[in-house]
Amino acid sequence: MNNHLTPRQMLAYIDGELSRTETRHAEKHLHSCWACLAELERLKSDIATILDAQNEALAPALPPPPQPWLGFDTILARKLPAEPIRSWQRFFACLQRSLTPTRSVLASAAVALFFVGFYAVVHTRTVSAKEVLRKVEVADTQRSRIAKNQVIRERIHVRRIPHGQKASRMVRVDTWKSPHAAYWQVEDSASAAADLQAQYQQHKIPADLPLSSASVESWGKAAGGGPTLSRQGIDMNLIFTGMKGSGEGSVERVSLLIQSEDWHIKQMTLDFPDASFEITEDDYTVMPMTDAPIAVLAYLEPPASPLALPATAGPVADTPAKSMVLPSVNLDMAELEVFTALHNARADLGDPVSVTRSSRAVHVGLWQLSPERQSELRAALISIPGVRVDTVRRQISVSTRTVISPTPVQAPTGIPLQVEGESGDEDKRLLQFFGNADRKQDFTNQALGTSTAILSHLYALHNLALQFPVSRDQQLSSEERERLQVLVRDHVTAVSVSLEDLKRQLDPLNANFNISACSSSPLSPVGSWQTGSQQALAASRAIDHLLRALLTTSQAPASPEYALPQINENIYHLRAELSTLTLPNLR
Amino acid sequence: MSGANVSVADKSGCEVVVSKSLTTEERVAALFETYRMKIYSFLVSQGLGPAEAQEATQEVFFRFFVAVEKGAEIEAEPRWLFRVASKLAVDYWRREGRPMWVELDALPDIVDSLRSQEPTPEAAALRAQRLTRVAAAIARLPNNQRLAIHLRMQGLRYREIAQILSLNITAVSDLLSTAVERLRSAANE
Repeated sequence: MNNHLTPRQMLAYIDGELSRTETRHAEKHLHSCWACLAELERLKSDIATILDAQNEALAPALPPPPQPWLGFDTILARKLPAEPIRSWQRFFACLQRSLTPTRSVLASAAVALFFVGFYAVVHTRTVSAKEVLRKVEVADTQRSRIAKNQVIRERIHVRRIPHGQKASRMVRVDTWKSPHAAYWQVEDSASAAADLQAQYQQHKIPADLPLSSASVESWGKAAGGGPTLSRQGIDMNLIFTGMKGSGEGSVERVSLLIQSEDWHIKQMTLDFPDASFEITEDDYTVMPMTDAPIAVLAYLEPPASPLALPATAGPVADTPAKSMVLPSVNLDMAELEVFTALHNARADLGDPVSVTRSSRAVHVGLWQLSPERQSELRAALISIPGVRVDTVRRQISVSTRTVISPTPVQAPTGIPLQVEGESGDEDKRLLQFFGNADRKQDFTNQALGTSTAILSHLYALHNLALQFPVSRDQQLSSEERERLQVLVRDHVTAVSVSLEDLKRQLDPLNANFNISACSSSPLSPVGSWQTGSQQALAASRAIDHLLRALLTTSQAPASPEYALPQINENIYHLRAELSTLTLPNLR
Repeated sequence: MSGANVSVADKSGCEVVVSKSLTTEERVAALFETYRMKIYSFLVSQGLGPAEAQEATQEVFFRFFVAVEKGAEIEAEPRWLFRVASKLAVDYWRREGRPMWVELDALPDIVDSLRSQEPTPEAAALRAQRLTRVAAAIARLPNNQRLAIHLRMQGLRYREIAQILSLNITAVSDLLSTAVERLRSAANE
């Protein structure tokens, strides 16, 4: 039968997701096609492997929860006040179940209208603007209460809407607060956030989280006038109206959108004569100080050293906004510098070093190395900004990205080569060629040593390709990319040199067994250096495998007539890959 | 709090029916004990940081509690929990707007744990290598494929996965097939 099942059909068949007709066809085909039947069994077996990998390898590697689990009663106690389950909701749900769909919709609408109307009437009559502000202050005090070793991150987005123009600019900003200081992590001095920061400075609004009750109160005073309250859906809108046209930079209006369920400020809009700023809270998190990025910590916990950063931080200070922004550590560059340092120390050629990356640092794990090697590498790495060197294994509690690298090279240098004296007919011919067993072993050690050197560089290159896939490579700056390309070229050059050595070593064997040079067609160009490195690694693994089959006692020994042409062909392919990898337009 | 019979999985994964009538809080507390680590691991493997994943795990059970209190009749509790957890993960991706990476410290050396199951140390080493390759490949899958694979592992049907990912069933089938083929390539490298 020609219409074999596709991989998608097979998977859907196993998952029971084919339609009845499709299932009947699939079964009919499987009864008559052994190839598909065998493939189906292989797929089932591979699915079992995927499950095992998830349960036995991946799941145990995941970081544990950073905090002990709370009891569910504690979780309820924390969350319920913000969202109580009202008895009418239960009644409403029961009612819904007992009604037909149409009646249910009508009844639901009627009941909802009644309650919403009732709720709105009661609340608009009883809550005043001042009371709302007081509740906002209490709620803010409660949620911003932190321990000495904690910080708050208020993630906001700021939209600047210039008056008279349609275009607006929007930017996301993390703002931070510790018991000692506040800091806005503004990366771009030309962004809407930097403009807003300038407004905070100009109006001498305290350095705090932008949507804190303290900030809001100060903005209210800056606008002047009493607050007015209105309802906007289930939220409340509180407005301070200032004097229009009272001069450049004056605050015309401050509008607050307040969530009635928890009295938190969801959004604040500041109207100035030339533009409006819309500040919206995306996230509010209290976290351990150690989880904050290093660059931010420098502001939140200013070190005592006179050489350290300015002691004041945040949007309001006498210093201009730009001077308050610490150049954040470029972790991409830090990671590349780590790889370069490891490369210079030849630690990327098989040393079990892990390079992991969190949101605030690049962590280099050296715990599997000898103390001497640890000291050597530590000295090479410690001066790189944003890098933490671990000599004891530790769990990284908060990491946004983790890199497993460099993968220990599977055939590292220094592995004793197993060349045993067992001889078959082929081996006798090789022995005859070399003259005696010692010479053959010397040759074998030399050839496999060269092959291992090639492999170790290609594994290192492959690791780089995994760490910097095309998508990430394209996001690097030109300087970072240049740094990466230096590493790539270094490995390619080392492989090229070793490959020529290997070819020279094999020339006498080729001549003796009348094996001619490779005549296969050239490879098509690779799409990227990442793909090229993968293909080069495959070719070098094939060479290594064939060399071992030819020269050592192997479960699948190979004759010179079988192995040498294939080795030559793979050398040819590998050279072609390398020449592509070193092209000037290396992608 | 309303009473209910509860059926939870014991440590071996078997369903245990507890005939005692429990309050909603007791019912959810029992589920929380049983499933919190599974939900947490699931969320971490979807790219949430440990702190975010722990918070989201608590949120999942809180939502379950609220749903039951509001009168929802939930029969397949684990599925419900994973569905909500997946939605939280998807919301997280959308909110963060950046590529997610699975947080792995380092894949563990699992040879020792496999040694007793395999006939020879060589076989154990080979299997460990294979599982490590597949685990690394799972971690490298694109978000949607990784989520689809994990949800399928949790027993969700294509239709349910499609709802979570806002895709149609054909797209889910393609997603799963592509992911499985990638993982098979890694397994048989």
